[in-house]
Amino acid sequence: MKTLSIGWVYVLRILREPASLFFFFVFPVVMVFIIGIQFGGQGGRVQLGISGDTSQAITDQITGNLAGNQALELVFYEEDAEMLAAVERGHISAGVVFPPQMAARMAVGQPVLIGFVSTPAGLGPQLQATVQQAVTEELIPYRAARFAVDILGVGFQESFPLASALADQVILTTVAVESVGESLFPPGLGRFDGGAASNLVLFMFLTALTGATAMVADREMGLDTRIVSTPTSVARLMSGYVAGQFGITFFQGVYIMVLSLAIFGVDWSNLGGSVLLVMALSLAGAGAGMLLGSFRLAEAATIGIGVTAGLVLGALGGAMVPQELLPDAVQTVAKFTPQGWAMLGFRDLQWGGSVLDLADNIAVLAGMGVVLAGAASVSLRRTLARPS
Amino acid sequence: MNTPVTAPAPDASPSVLQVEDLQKSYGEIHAVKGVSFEIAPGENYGLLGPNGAGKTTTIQMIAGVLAADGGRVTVCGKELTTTTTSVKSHIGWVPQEVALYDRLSARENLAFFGRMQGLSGKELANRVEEVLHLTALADRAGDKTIKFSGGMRRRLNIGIGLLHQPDLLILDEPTVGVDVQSRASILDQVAEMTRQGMAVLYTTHYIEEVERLCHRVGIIDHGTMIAEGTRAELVKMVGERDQVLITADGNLSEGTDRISELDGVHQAGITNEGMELLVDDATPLLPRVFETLTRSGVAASGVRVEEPDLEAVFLHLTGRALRD
Repeated sequence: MKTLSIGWVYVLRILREPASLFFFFVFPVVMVFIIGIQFGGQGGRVQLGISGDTSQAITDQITGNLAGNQALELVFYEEDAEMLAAVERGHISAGVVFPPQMAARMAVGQPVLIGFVSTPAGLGPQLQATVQQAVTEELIPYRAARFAVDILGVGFQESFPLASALADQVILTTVAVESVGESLFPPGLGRFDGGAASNLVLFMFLTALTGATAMVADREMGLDTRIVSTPTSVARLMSGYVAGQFGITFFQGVYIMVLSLAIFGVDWSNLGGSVLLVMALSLAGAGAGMLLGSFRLAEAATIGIGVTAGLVLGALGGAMVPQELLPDAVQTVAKFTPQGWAMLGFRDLQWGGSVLDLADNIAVLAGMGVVLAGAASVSLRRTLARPS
Repeated sequence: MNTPVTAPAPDASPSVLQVEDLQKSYGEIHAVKGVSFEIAPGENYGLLGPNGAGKTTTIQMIAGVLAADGGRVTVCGKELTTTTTSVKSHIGWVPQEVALYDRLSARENLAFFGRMQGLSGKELANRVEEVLHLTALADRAGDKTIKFSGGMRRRLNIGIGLLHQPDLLILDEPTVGVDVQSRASILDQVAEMTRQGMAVLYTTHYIEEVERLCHRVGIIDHGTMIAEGTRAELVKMVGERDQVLITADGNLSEGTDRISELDGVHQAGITNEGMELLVDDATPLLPRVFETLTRSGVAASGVRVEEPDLEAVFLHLTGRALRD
């Protein structure tokens, strides 16, 4: 009962603090928008930029061919430089640059160079093959007409209509592409649905750590000492703090998930399993936050350490870059971070895992929470024993 | 000078508080060195001492929020440690710094701390309302305490200590920074509590509060109880000396140094208004005192000769004014 009372007062005072309200309600909404804009809606389609002289019949044909590919979303740019910048910044996956007067130059036998730009990493090679095939298909009549000009000596204007009419009868040979080995992302997963979980894990743990400032403020006002002067042990006081911070972190996690799902359609795979993971991560975060708050530090130092620790643990735990891309040593370190276990849990869900598959993740996260809360209790007892 | 004055034993009823040889060190610093005293039911005990004397450390050990290195605290016959929580229900501790939740209302603060004391249900609700009336905060019960004046916050701070009707109330400088009306109200409440049988341990820098409220006084300095007794017993220590209160401005430090060298002057200390002297006989001494003050660059604007009070006792025992 006392634990709940302390926890409820912890939540209540934060709810009534205007500055805290921003972090409690507004900041998660900002997170929802960030997650939603990045990972919601059109997430499944790859964006291909188109620039250059797109006013020609041949470019219409090629872009029409590309637009027929359900996996692609074409984005048109006025300037080549603008599209190049978009590729460089990762806003689109690759880009195609059409030169001017393509048809006229091909008619007189001049070579035509269609530009293709992509970054070294990502989907460049696959997109290049897709673009190459579309170009090849649409250029068949031009090449056939040019063949007639060179071999038979007929005019291009006479041979091209005939070649165009026969183009549909040409049998094309294509290369079937098949990937083997384990993919980083499961089939059917949106472009960055895994990124939504990363953002959620990173944010939740950060807010849990910075929640330590509320505890520091209580101690500086003498409230901790006053509570301990009643028949209430330090362990009970700490359990109340952890309960309060757990409630806040858990609420924020679910709040972000539900809003991002409702507004942007972000795919959280197994919602029930995700909520359980969020619950376990909230407990670990609350334990870590209260451990930080139990140290004899000022509020400013607590915020600084909390943010730094949240980011470092997030990076080590794979909440910034997927664990699979991290060096082996860092992957080992990730097993000692709450973020690491949470991210592995979300990955299991994205690969179609059930709630039962999360048992070890949830157990480890909950265990971390209990151990951290116990350490926080011991630390707070020591802090309160020192002269104020 | 440092020999404690032994007070007469408290009345026959068993002591609410027994402090025996209490000790506390912070590294090399011995903050409390063997403090002992007792408080009987219905007794108001004043603990006086200059800043850094060890008062707050002593009080925090008695309140069970700070572990003692040695000695024993017994409340209502049960030994108190920082881990024995049940004994704490006999104690109401009112800390020097107001410790309230700013964003909670007065009623919510009282209800929360009442629950921490183990109250619940109707008993808690009744006690919250009673304390709201006792502290004259009933009409502002629903307001957040951040909107309260300093005096209102002080009253609520005390009210929290009274919620569970403790046997021992510990008040650590409860009137610091409050207006005259609130101070009077607080003093009335404390007097009423002792009349009702509550034992009170009271610390303050205001000597008049101790003289008005406390049955017995302990004077602590450098972590040691240097004197203890009733007001009359303590004043006897000063003997037939006069207390001279001078309103003055200027180089008070040099003034008190020079005056303390005069024959017949036992103590000289600086006060808020000027200086305070403890002398054998004020009448023949005053001309020499004023002459010395003038030479020291001190401008005296008033003088008052009084019978010795606790302030004089304090000066006599510690060589310092209470508010140094």
